Amino acid sequence: MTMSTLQGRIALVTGATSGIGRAAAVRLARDGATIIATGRNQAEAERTLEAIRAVGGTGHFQAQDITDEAGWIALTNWIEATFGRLDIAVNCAGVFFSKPLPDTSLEDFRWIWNIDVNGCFLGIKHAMRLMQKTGSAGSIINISSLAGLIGLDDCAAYCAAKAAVTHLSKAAALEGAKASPRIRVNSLNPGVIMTEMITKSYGDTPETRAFAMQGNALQTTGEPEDIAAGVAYLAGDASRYVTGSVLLIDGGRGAD
Amino acid sequence: MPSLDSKTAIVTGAGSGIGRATALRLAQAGARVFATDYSLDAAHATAALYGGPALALDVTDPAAWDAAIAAVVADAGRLDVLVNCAGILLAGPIVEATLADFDRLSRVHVEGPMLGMQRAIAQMRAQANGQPARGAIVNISSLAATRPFPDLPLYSTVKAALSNMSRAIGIEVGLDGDFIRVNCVHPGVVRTGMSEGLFDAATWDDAATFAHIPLGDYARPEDIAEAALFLASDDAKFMTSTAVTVDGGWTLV
Repeated sequence: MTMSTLQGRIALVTGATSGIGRAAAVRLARDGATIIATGRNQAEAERTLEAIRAVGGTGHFQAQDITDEAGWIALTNWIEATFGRLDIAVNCAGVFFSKPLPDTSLEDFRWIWNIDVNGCFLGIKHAMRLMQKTGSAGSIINISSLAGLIGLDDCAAYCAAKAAVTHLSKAAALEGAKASPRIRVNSLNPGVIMTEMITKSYGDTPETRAFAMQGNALQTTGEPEDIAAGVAYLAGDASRYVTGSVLLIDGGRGAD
Repeated sequence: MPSLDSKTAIVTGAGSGIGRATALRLAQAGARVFATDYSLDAAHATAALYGGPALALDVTDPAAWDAAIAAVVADAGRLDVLVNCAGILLAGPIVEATLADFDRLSRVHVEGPMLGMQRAIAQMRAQANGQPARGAIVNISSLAATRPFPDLPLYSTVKAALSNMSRAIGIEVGLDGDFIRVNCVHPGVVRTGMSEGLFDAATWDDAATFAHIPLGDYARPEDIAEAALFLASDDAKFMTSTAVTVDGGWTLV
């Protein structure tokens, strides 16, 4: 049974040039939404747009540094001028590194915080502003992490940043609930998913794959498409009554 | 949109409320759905909504579970999805609660799903032909599992037990090498036949309740059914031992 449940919706996906962001953009496009994919890598963006076309979808790329507020203003102005509205915003762009805490410099810490937290904050802020301005009953989905809920060894800065994203989502959900029409905000917390973000730090090796599976009750690695499916649930009317929630997609890793 | 094409499902408590909405939603997504209920008439009425089969099932009775699973396998040859939705609600302050109340709640909300999960997992393994078994179990628990409600002390207790049992069984079957996923839905306040007694009470106050619900409304049974469908489908194939909270933001405040 196929049905385009997001037909006519306008969806912004940051970090759409790789990994979970690309998969989310393709899935939302498959479900009928028009995609604005953002990121920094033009060549990788072309691959995302090609994948969107391959599922019969429509996508547009805008280069974006999510830590630049002027860029957010320009982007949301362009979205308003081009589409007249924004229905779905997926804040997916993020960075990661693994380093023991005593070896983590303040610069390291600020690098992850600036992109993962400040970038997400700006994304929520400007998506909410545009949704409110154009009267959209929007859905904002912030890609956090299992590491925002429990500790992940040698990843203190990332754990702190993702805990901030998880909680920022809840606070934003309270404000979104006051908007008319209401704007839903949810946190999606993936376990360890095999993406370039992980393989850049740990290498694309059998050991990395074993690390990704470690502690998963399902004894399999999570794929970007598994997270994209959760994004699709939170984006559409199926989750009409879901806001401020933490959607944990982790193969059961966090349960024990 | 999630698909359950060629899947066979059992929904308990399908005669009313969330169970009825879930049975209908799973059927719309392509599954052959056995609507089961304590009342066979109520199960038939639900099954008639989508032209499916109905069975009587008292979830507290092990023999009734055996018979229901046998009937499903005789008809469809397999079982892919179990949604444990049958429930009852007994409200009141703890000092007025009786052991009989607690026993009824425990049997329906904890023993019933336990008996169903045991048998569903056994069937999913039996039909796997030596391969890792596949299947999805969705337990309709409650927001009360994590946010206890005043005057629902026993209900809150048994729902916490159901949610934690689900997590434990999800880990257990996963580590056994099977791909049987076990998850919960945590609904907030839903107006159904089960909860209607609460709303009729002179003490119920919509405005006071909405003060707890940022989205400012009750959930519809269909909202819970959508979460159950998501968890039952391959869209949730990397999800086990977790819960989808559908509460209008109740847990935020």
